[in-house]
Amino acid sequence: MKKMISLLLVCVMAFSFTACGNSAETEEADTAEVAVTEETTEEAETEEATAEEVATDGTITVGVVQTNANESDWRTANTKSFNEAFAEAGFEIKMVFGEGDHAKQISQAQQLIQEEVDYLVVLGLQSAGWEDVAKAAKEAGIPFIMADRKLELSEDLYTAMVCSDFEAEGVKAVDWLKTQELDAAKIVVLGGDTGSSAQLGRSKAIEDGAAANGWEIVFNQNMKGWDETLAKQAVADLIASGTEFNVIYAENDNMARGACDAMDAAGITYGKDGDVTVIAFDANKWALEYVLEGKFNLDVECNPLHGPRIVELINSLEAGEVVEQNAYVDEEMFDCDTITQEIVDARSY
Amino acid sequence: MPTNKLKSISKHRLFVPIAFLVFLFFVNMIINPGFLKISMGSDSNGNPVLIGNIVNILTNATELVILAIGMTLVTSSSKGQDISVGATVAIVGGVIMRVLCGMETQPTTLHAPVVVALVLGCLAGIACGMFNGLLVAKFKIQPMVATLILFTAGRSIGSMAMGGLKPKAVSSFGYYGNFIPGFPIPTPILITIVVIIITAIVLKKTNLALYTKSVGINDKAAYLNGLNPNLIKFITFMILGLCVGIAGFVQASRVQTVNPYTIVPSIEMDVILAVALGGNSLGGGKFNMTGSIIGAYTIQTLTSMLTTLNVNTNAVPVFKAVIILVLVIIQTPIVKSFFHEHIQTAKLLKTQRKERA
Repeated sequence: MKKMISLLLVCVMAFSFTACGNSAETEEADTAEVAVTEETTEEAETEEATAEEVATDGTITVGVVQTNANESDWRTANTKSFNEAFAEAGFEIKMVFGEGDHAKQISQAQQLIQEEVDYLVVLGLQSAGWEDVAKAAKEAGIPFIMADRKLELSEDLYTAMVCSDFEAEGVKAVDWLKTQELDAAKIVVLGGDTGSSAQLGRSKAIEDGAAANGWEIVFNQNMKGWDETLAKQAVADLIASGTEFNVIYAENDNMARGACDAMDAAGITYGKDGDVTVIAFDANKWALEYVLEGKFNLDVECNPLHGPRIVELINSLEAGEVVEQNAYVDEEMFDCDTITQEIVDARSY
Repeated sequence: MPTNKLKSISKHRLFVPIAFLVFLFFVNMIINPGFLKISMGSDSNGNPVLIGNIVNILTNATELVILAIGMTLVTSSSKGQDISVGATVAIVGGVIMRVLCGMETQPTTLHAPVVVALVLGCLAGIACGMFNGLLVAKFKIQPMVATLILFTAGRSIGSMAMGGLKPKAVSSFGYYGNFIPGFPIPTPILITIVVIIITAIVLKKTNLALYTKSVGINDKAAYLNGLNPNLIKFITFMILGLCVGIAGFVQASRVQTVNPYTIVPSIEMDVILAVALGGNSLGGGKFNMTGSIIGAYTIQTLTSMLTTLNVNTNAVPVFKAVIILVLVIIQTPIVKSFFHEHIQTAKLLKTQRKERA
């Protein structure tokens, strides 16, 4: 037993040493602080010195609260865009991932504020509940920038945003559907994660559009996690129960693909020359290939390349310019009749 | 006498689970007259396929049934549940996609035979099971706490296994989660049948069931009778790991791609619920495998019903919760004995009346 305890203690010691070594390398101020209490003052002093250096040498540190590391192809392109644009601009980036946990994101954001980053960029999993973080950032004098999804904050709490207007995306799809002159639209709505602003905006657009144009929504439920599998099962169940539909309104590319799989399995034709019109969102490269092949009729873009825009924004703020607070990202849509190979090839994600 | 027969049936352990499943089918038939209909259709390539709600339920319940089988054994032996099954399915899925796709996102061929992917996936599942089993059996950590570790880390590990990519394998990998061209019965149904048959044989021909139950009922007594409780617990976790491997394989094959963060969302709760709905005590000991399997199909029927009913999306969880609440309450000893007492007093009154007359 004594042996076990001593072994454990050795392990703990070894672990704390390596932890300290790492923090010296990555120059993270917070681990340095922990080291002060745990380790010898000598080592801590050198680390504090490095931490101060970072603060004074004029590099801009940007804290980014990202959602998930590997959520979708869209997210991968989004993360890459941040890393590349910031590296090019010479900013230091501190990116953290919420991994599906809203509460974790909030504590991560607060941690970044304590680490005194120069700018805080938040891509919220949920749109509500960010008031305290925004207030803390304001008190600390850190500009708060929302990206990707618009958060529910009053205008005095954030500096700028680089967001997609999800409702406008949905409205684009609705307007396009109007031009299709279907005899009677019977729509299946496959919603995303309940409560995310992408789901709220896109669902609202189709619900309003259906009410205004006399379309019938035969199914409207949210699929957990924006995933192929659940969308596929739902559409298969609808087909089996004899529900008639001629429009699939899937709130991302993956769910549209799942719906297509289910229709394939039941021998229902869809896409350009098929019985069912498929509308998807996000416009990943593979999805644009689907549009080109005529499997999807329409794909509305949701632009993930936020990095360069945020760099531009920060540079303007640094120069003391006034930035527009509520600017949405420009987004296009791709129709199976007008898309070309060049558009698909030009897509990087 | 028929009344006696009826009574003995209603007292059977499986009465409530089966009755509830039949009740759900009945409700489904009312809201959707074509519920029981199975028709022969053809997919877009002209291959024959079976189409029907029942077919969908049987197909989509596969993962749930397979996981419920493993979970029943774990529950029985360790007096607790493994909450990491969803996360470990993500690990298995990640391993399978990595084996099949390498580091390509849109591969045109399979990088390895599917059998290799299946075997490696199952090994990954078993490894996770062994890890959990070690913590529970050797270090005596409560199952829920021990499996919380993989519950937290599993999905990230799955993502790492895939190298941070989200590849889609070629469509021939989809045979195992959908149809084999030319054969109309969905493959997952066949896989479920095979797994159930193997389970039945193992439970009948080996001492696994007896040993598991005795460890669950009283592990000290089991030890005194020459069993090794730790080993038995460890083995049940390994079996669950194997189940996770198979379930992960079927799940990955369904859409030929895996998103570790969203694959089988909160399935662990559905699996535990399936075990409970089957009339099993979550406190371990005796178990009824048939009950768990029926429980799994009940949950899938319920999920499918909510889709065909087009229940308002915000109300879906509440709807599901209310139905489950009713079912769980019916099965509690208090309600059961209440009904029995009422039946008995009614009988007593009847006989008394007869005597007076």
